[in-house]
Amino acid sequence: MLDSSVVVSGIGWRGGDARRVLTLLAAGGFQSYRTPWLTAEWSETVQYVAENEKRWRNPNWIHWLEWLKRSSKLAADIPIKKTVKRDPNDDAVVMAAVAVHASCIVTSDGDLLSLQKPYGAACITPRDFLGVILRQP
Amino acid sequence: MAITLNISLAEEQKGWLNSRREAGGFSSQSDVVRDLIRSEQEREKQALLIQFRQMEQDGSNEAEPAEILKMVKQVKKVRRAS
Repeated sequence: MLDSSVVVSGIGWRGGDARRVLTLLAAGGFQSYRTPWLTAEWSETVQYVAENEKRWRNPNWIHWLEWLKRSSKLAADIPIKKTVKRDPNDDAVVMAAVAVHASCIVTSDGDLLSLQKPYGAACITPRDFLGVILRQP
Repeated sequence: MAITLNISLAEEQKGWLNSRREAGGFSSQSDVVRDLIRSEQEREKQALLIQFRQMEQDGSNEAEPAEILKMVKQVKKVRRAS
């Protein structure tokens, strides 16, 4: 499952690890999942950065979001439980990972990464995720 | 694990399904539907790959500033608090 931090970076910068994760998704290297809640967060976060950060340059971002939605299997949201001690706001993304039975949450968010493996979903950076996937036979 | 769905079809669609079963050598209507879904999934996969290739030069080629992550974090906080 792709956290919004990876979606924003992957759409906005073509040379980074987050973009390489999206390229791998396009090539069928892994299955991405989303919930309605996560989808809304992707959209709102990308839209906010697109409208407020001049260094983030991708005028085609709406098509990227549509592509990502169509490339990610949809699962239903589940109720949010209190999970994250360091930043309770991250409970929702962990619950989204539980809802879709995600094996990984790919994120650049330090609070999420510090959780390591909540409910069995490993929180890993885009770089580590690429390493894991590309090492697979 | 297979699940069972009840799907309503028009008479003409049912006829088409039966023709397809016979012509394709499928043993059941379910096999025809599964084959149609597989074909559609493959078609969609190819379409998504083509769309991605058309978009892959989008975005900045400069190094990503660290402040972007802070901005994302802030948006997420505001959104999740509301």
